[in-house]
Amino acid sequence: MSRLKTKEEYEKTIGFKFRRWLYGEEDPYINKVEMVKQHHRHVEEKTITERMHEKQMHREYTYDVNRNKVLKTYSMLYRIASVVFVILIAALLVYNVSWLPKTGAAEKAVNNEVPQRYIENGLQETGAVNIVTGMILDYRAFDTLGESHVLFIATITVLILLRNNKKKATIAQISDRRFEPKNDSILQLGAKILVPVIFVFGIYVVLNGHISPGGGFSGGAIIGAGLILYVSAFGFEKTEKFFTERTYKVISFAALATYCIAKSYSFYTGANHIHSIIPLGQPGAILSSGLILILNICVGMVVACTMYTFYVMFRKGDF
Amino acid sequence: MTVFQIILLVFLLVCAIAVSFSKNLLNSILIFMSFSLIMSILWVCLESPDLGITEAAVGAGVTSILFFATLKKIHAIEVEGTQEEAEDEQA
Amino acid sequence: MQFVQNFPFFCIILTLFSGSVCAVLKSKPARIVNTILITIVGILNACVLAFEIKTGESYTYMMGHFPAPWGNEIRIGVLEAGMALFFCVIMLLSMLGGKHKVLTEIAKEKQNLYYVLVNLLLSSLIALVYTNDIFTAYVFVEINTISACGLIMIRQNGRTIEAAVRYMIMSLLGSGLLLMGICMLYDITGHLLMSNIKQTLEATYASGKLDVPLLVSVAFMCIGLAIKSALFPFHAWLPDAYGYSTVSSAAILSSLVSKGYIFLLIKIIYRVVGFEIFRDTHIINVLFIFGLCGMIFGSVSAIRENDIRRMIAFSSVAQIGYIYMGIGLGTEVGMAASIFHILSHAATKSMLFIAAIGLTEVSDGSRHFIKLTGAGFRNKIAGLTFMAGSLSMVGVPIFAGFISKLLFAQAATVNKGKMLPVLICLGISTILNAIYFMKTVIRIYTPIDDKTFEENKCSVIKARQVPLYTVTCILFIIVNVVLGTMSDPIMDLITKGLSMFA
Repeated sequence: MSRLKTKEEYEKTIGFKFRRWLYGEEDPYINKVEMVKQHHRHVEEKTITERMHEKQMHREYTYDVNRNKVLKTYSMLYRIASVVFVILIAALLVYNVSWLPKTGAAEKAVNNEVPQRYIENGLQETGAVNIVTGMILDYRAFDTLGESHVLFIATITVLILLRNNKKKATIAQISDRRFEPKNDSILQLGAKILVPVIFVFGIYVVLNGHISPGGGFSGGAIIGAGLILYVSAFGFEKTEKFFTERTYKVISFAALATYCIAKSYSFYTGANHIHSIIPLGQPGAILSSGLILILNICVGMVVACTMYTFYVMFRKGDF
Repeated sequence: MTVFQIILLVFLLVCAIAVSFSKNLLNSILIFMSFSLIMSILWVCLESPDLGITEAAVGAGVTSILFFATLKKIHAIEVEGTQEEAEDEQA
Repeated sequence: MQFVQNFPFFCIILTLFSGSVCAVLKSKPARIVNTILITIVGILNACVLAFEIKTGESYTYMMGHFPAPWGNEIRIGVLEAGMALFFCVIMLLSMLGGKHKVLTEIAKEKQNLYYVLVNLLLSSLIALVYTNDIFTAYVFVEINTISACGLIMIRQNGRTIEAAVRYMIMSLLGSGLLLMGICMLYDITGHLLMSNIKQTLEATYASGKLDVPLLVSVAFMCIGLAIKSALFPFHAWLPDAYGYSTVSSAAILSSLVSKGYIFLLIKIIYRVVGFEIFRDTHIINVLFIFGLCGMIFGSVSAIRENDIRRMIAFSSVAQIGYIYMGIGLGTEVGMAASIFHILSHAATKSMLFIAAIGLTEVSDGSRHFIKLTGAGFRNKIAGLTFMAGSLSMVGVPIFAGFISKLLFAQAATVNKGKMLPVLICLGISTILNAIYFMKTVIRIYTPIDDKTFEENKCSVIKARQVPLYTVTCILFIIVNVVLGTMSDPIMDLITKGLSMFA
């Protein structure tokens, strides 16, 4: 045998090992890289609270500003950037305002023919002593129509977000007591005295919207605040007798539908130059100024219901 | 512009800055309420009582109550008597 | 005055009215009311469009007994009527295509509220399109924002609520900026009516006294509307909002809500600020650059996604970048191309969302690419629609996307300074589009063996089982092909409408 290497040396080379593996004499992996059958990993069942706790720990660890350098610098930078940004915007606005003419100056562009006609002819054209009401409910009634639908859709969105499902209602009913106020006699006595006054004032503001300051939006907000005071003093059981989700929907539907129909008539006749048959009445009287009184009542109802529904949804999530 | 209005405006600024720098949410809402009240007085000074009434009712009244309700719902404010309630429920 | 001229007003009032009607109805009647309403409004708008094409001139319609600067008014031209008609068509198709998902994904007692939101959204879109008063526009922007929030979160799981909160914060920031801009503009000009503002502004601009407030107010309005329509750096809210809401909402949000704001911006540019004044301010360049960045970065983010709905959502960012790039070119041709892209993108994106839902349905509701393998064979009509949509997005002839890319390229050649960046970005963006859309198409047409079929819990849906969905998909393809093949008359209408704007 003419070999360059001795047999011992040859047995150490890769070629020899490969040959042996090829002819199946020896498997180099046996006893060296053993595939052990895996045991099923047993995880100890943890209670929900424990797992929640662990999650909380992880979260606290991750968001711990003292440990996490990146987070620390980022939050610092973020704060500085937000402050600088706000200051810049404020400076820009102040600089911008300095260019504008002074508030109340006669040469201001705002003092043009538009407010002039509102002031001079507002009373004759709309029959409303309060020019602001005449403006928002007669001259620019279309905007106000949109505005009352904004309130309506805001309530609808809150209903979608916070209204409990029927299935959850049973749980809510069990824990309903928690939302009820305790029988606080001071609060109840105060409410007993104040609520009628607030209601009467609110109704007064709504009905007198075309004569004195106020109108649907302000009066409705006052009535809504009164309702909220009532419910926080006496609890939901009392109000549920006269105000449920159905009531809300019917009232807002009736008010918005009246608004739409009344204004459709006036828009249609106005655009087609047909004379409107609605009398303007004696300025200063309660029954005057055409549609404004009705519209004020509609807006007032929508606003009051919106306020109250917001509160109920935020507190309880169910009527 | 009268001195009264200038004082009110300064208050307004102080309130606005204090709202954003207050650490306690409850305090923020209370300061926000006073902001709305000052604003409603300013509206009356600017001869727009309609806005004044609305601001007082919505800004100072209803909005703050909604904020309180939300804070209570997310357990951000300690409710007095929570302890008693828990005991009640256990019993 | 002819009776047809009342129709835009009828549309607005009908949609507002039906909003409150649907609140008291049960879910099924509400759905029927909604479908009938969108159809009627579409027909009314088609009549207005026909009338406008016949007479060839715009008219204003007085809302009330008082003429314009004192009362409210709406203004009707070819572009407005056409846009309103188009919005109605897309909304109807989106509602029909996602109907079965609305029924399963939304709690039963809240379904009628969904239709309230959709009706009021439609009313706000139509009012935004037709209004001639900038404050009325703001009021309807508010309705639009709130109802869009509702549309996102009505499918109540954690992710949609988070998405809705994000959307609401960004959107309210946009509304606030828009309102501030409007207030400053009112302070400068003393008017809220668009045509009067433009007259006064021209005089003020010539005197050069109030340049700073003018610049600031225009900038605020542009940024506000850009945030609301998800222009590139402000798009963080978009993928979640489009990706997790119920499919009708996603289709409506991507194709109509953001387009409504862009149309309002175009209206402000033409009818409030004036095209020449707007071109002289440098805001146009900012919009242009952000548009270009959006084209690239939107596509890059879309490539990195492995969730089909989020991928389509990121593609919206890129397409909105195209639209702003067209506005930023500062030429009439660029603007016309942008408006055409509004149409083509709205048609295509809602189609893709509707098709994607069909594909995920046959893959055990999973939206990940791996699971979607072979979905095109399991739901043939959805696969076909998705392929058509992808081809349109990439810009293959006979589909709408090709025409808008062609128009953008043509518009770029007019503007010497901006030609090179536009063409380069258009090329890169098209290649990136092709990468992620073709990747998806190949994936859904890769066959799988029976074992994987079992493992992934796949199912098969035949076109006969879902007749409504099939019809909707076919209609979507038809709309897209019509936009792609009959682009000449549509472009004529757009240029005519733009010239009526001035």
